Formats: sequence, C-alpha cells, structure tokens
Amino acid sequence: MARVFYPVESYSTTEPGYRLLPFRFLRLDEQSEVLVNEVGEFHIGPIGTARALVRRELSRGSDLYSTLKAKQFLTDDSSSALLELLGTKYRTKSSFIDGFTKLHIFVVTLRCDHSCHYCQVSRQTADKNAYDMSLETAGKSVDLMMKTRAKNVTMEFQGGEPLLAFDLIRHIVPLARKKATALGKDLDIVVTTNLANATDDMLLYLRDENIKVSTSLDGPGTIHNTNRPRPGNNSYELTIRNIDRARKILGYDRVAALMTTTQLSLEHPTEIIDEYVRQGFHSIFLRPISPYGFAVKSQKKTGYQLEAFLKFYRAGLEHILEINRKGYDLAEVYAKILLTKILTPYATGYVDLQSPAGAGISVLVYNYDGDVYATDESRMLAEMGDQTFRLGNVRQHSHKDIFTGDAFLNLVAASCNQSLTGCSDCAFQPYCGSDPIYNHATQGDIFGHRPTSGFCKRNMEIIKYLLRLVAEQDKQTMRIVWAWIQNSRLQDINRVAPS
Amino acid sequence: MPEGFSSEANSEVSATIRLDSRIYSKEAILRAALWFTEIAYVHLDESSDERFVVQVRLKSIATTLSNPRPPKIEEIAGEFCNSLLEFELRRQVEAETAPIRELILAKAFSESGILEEDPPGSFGDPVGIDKRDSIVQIGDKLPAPSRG
Repeated sequence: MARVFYPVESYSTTEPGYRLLPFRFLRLDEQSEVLVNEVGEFHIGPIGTARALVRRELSRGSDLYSTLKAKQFLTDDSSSALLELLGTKYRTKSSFIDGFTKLHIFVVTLRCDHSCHYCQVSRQTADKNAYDMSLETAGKSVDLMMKTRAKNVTMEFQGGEPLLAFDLIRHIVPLARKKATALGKDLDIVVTTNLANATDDMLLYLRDENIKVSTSLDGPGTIHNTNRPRPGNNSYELTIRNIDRARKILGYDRVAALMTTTQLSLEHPTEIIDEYVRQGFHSIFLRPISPYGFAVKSQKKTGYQLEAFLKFYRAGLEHILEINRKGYDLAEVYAKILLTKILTPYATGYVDLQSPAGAGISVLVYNYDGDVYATDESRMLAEMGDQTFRLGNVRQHSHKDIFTGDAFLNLVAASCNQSLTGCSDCAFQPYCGSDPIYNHATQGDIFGHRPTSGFCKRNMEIIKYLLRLVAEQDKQTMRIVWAWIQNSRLQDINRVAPS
Repeated sequence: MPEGFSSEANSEVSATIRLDSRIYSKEAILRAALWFTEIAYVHLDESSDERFVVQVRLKSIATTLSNPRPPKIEEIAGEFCNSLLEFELRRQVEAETAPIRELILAKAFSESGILEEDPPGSFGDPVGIDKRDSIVQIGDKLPAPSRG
C-alpha cells in the first residue's frame, strides 16, 4: 500500500495571509522599481511589485514571496525574534550616534602659502598673532573636546596650513594625549596639510606621535597646479616629493590624499584617477563640487553642474572598477560608504551622509579665534558673514551651553531625514542623510526643498547607479565591492555569496 | 484610467485635475504635489462636491541648454496622477506598518529593555495581597451585592 502524505500546503502555518513589514519604494526607470525596508534591505522588481505585495497578490509558494520574506518585507508568523533582529539592525545602523561627537577639527591657523581657488579662509600673512589660535584658546578647545562622551576621539588639525603653526601643534598634542589618557579615551590624531612646509623634524615628530597625514592631490600636475596656485606654481611637484618623504618617515599607509573637484576636474576623471594609481594610493574620493563660496543663486547653473558631476562620477567609477579588474586595488570612497549602507547593517563614520546629520552631533570645529562651529562648511559660511551655525565660543560657553543653545537646537530640528518632507517617503532614507547647512547655503532654509536640492538629486542618482550595479551580481564586480567594504585586498576576497 | 479623477489641459502651460476625495486622500495629493514644485506651481482646492481640484501651472516651457526637452502639460498631468497612485500606496503601507515600525524603533533604542520589563509585583504574590496597603484585600465576609 502506498504511503500518502498530506500536500505541502497543510504543513504551512494556519494563519492566512501575511503581514507587511515597514518598507518604502520608488521607481528606478520605465520598467523597474526598488523596494527598501526599514533597515536597508532592498529588492528590485518590475513596476507593480510593491502594489502586488500590499494587495496580497503574492502566492505563498512563489519565488517572490520567499525572497521578500527572507529580505524582511513581509512576515507570516508572529515570532518576536524577527522584531529583535530588525531592532538590532536598526540600532547597528544608528550606532554612530553613540558617544556623540567623535571628530574634532582644530583650525590652528588661517595662514597659508597657497591660494587655492576653492578655499574661502586662508590668509596670506606672516603675522602669527592675527590668525593663529592662542595657547589659551587651544587649552580651552582641548577641554571642550574632552567633554565628549565618546571613547574614541579623533582630533584633526586643519587651517589654513597647520604646519605653519607647528609650535602650536607641538603644544596641543601632549595636552590632548594627557587628558585622553586620564579619561580613558582613545585619541587618533590627523593633520590635514599641503606638506609644502614639512621639514624632516616635523615629519619625525608626526611619526613619533603616531599622527596621520592627509594631503591634497587634485590630479596630474596641470590640474593640481591650476587648482592650487602658490608662489612658484609648483604645488604639484612639492606635493609629490613630500608625499614620498612623508611615506618614508611615517610609513606608507600613514599618508592619505584627498582631491577637491573643480570645473576643470570634471573634464578629466580618468587622468585624475590614473594619477592616484601612479602615486600608489589605494583609495580616492570623488567628491562633488562644493556649493559653498559660489554664489550659486541660479538653479539652472546648479542643474548643469550636477549633470556634469554625475557624468564625471559615473565615468570615474567605471574607470576605477576597470583598474581593479586589472589587478590594482583602488576603492572609491563615496561608493564604499553607500555600498556599506546598502549591503551591510553597519554604520559608517562619514558625517556628511547620516541621519541625524553629523553637524555638531558627530563633528565639531574649533576655530583659531575660539569660535565653535557645527561643521567646516559652517565656518566657511561665517567667513562670508553668515554666523547661523556658530554654536558658541570656547572662552565663553560650556559644553552644555553649546549643545543646548539655539543654534545647535535649530540645526538638530532639521537633521533627521526620517522627518523631512520628501525624505520621509523616500526609499533611500536608510542610505542617505541630511545636511541642513547645505540646505541653508543653497536654498536659504535649513529644512530644504527636496525637488530642487542638489544634495538629493546627486545622492538619488548615485544610489540608483550603485543599486543597479549590485543587482547585476557580476561576480568580479561584487568581489571588488566587498573588498572595498571590508577594507581588504581583492585577492583576499575568495567567494562572495549572492546578495 | 482609474476611477475618480479627470484631467483637462486649460492651455499650453496649465491643467486642472479633479480628484474624488473618497478615493484620493489630501495627504497623498500634497506629498505627490511636492515633487512637481520644481517645474510647476501647484494649487490645491477643495470644491463642494467632494472633489479636490488641483491646478498645475508649468513654470516654463522654454527650451534651454539646461532643459532641452521642456515638459508638456499633458505629460505632467499624467505623471501627477501616476505619482498620486504611488503615494496612496505609500500611505497604505505606512498605515499598516506603523505599529510594527514603532516597535522596531523602540527595540532599537531601548537601553533599559523597556519592552522586556518584568510586570510589577513579586513572583509569589502577583497582586500584592500580602502588602499591608494593597488595594486587594482578603476580607472576612463577602461584600453585599449592589446594583449597578
């Protein structure tokens, strides 16, 4: 006699239907849409997928049903373990808030020997008293920095050109280290410098104090020198020579480079990237053109510039991926940040793309005159007469004054994209962030108008691009992507499970 | 075309869209309208016969370098209606998932384990009878029956 089993349906839970888990969706193009759940898991499907899901048109046995259940868009049991999991993922994504301000930027001097076109703040003067941080201000700034609850603190020296105030750095570093040790905090120190004035003594000091260097390299000589004029017009030659010296003294990995994008840069993505490869760097940050300092009142100009940047970015990323395929490890930093948010539940430390915005909450700027700003851009705005994001002064205000003051509280009101118009419905909310200072500078309002926001358009386009890239599931591309996310070398990534 | 709305172009730059307020919510209309405020002026009215009246007026139809293919009012009115349907769907998802979302966020940010708090009282005496000033008392006689 044959054994008869009940059909498979009778083994499933008796509860009919399924429950929706929180998600958002948006149209990717004419044929497809993307669904993204509350913790950033995504699914790309044909137009109408979200509708079918909501209308309960999915049948239990279907692939789509299984996929959406596995990716946590729907649930058909009432297990509380699922809530625990989603809560944990959300908490992990938000973990950058823990401890509050971690990045502290010390503008030790405004003096600089360069006159870069995009810089709003540098002063060409030898008068140290006019534009250097006083010892008293430095001491009070260190005190304020150490009031943060964060255990891991990063102090970044900026300027002007910080090495022109080297004595001041030599005063601040031991002060900060002593306080950090007393409070049980870990202190990382970075100096952002053009290296033009770096003597061997300075480099040795940086090595001995375990200080990292971040320098500017805008591309090959023609681009770099056009962007960054200095007497003798030899910024590029000096930079290359000094990167070499710094690497030899501090260690190869202790010297990083950042580029600033200008109109000229937009025309030469591959040349700039090739320069980074030539100089042996393994990461490059294709940053957008800063809107600060340009009186971009005309929205048409922003629109054109945005298209030009997106073209530059796509071409750049394609070129970078090709370089990786040929065997040279090179990560694009912005893509890496977004891909980390798309493919993992981990937070990134990138303060300009987070919700709540990094301004004040994650980063604080201590100006040479003691004024405290929410971000470096806030300081630039102040240089142009706009004090909106000046949070206080180290000589007059306590930590509590600064973080309960009107300037900070107003800023925070516009810092969460979960509650901003346009963002609150957006599928990319878990990947994106908010930037009230950008909104204020470009649109005159900290909350911002999403349809005309360059920040919104740029991020939406890049996220769409990256989602499509991941959806292709090309094995080699995914290995490259994971190498970036994990800060590994491509050869150490063996197999990649499908996302 | 789905029920409950009609759309007509008044001119090259403007159109009037009428929406049945029993089917389309004001919230969805407002959210959809936001995304058209880059290229158009959008005006929303409620008329007496349970309809919303949306006036869409394009800001410009001039061909420029930065806008080589300017919008046509019929396309925009059509896009608006499609967008409206999407926003109604979003509203539905939000309404259905709001309680779970709040639970997830509560779990994420709760440090004291709010959702796992023990109920008040001690293990062997869940209603606190043994406490002297408890509102629950064991009496000697039953209370008199009362009406109401």
